[in-house]
Amino acid sequence: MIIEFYGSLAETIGREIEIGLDEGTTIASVRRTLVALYPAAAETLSRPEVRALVDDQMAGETTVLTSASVLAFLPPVSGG
Amino acid sequence: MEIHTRLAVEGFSPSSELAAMEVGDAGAVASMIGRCRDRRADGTAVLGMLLDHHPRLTAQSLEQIAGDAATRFDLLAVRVLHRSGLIRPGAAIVFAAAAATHRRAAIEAVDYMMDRLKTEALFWKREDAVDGSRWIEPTDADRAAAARWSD
Repeated sequence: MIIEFYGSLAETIGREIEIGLDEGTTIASVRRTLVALYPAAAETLSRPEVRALVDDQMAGETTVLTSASVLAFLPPVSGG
Repeated sequence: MEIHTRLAVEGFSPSSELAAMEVGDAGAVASMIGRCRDRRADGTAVLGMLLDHHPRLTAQSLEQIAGDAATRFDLLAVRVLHRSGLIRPGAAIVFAAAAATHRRAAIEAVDYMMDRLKTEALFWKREDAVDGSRWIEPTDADRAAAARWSD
């Protein structure tokens, strides 16, 4: 599964990583895994304001992922 | 109704974009240009900004905001441009404009679009200053301003 990052998360982790996925993995589980793998990004990843997208659609923490999913984590946006 | 939005990965000319708002029946054209400051409020020198965007959803967010303005207000034309990438102090970051028969609709539409761009457009903004870099998030004032438009 591909995971994309934006903003401060992209700066810390990189734009994109690829990880192996166990059957039935949820977004919440991936988030916990990333927190452990990337301590420098842990605080940001743990914020509820950091949203998850699956295949460009907003998704909740209990969403079950597949190996073909593209998961993205978005920090709070700021335009204008 | 003309709706034009563009994610600008290179610089753009606000005066050229304003000139493009010449609409025949428009009694009013209102516009807002947001620029990269050269100093923070505390006087710290700003070296520039980096704006990150999503390859598919950022452009859609601009279209959504412009389209919603066109639906909400009695307008003849809407134009929104927003930079991404590295931006130098003084350079334009965002251009939002609306043309209408009457001024109230044009002014309010630009106000509305700016409030939504500040809080909903899919950009991530890093400010680079002499004392370091920081990722910027909407302030309470930004959120309160956007909340004014909630139905």
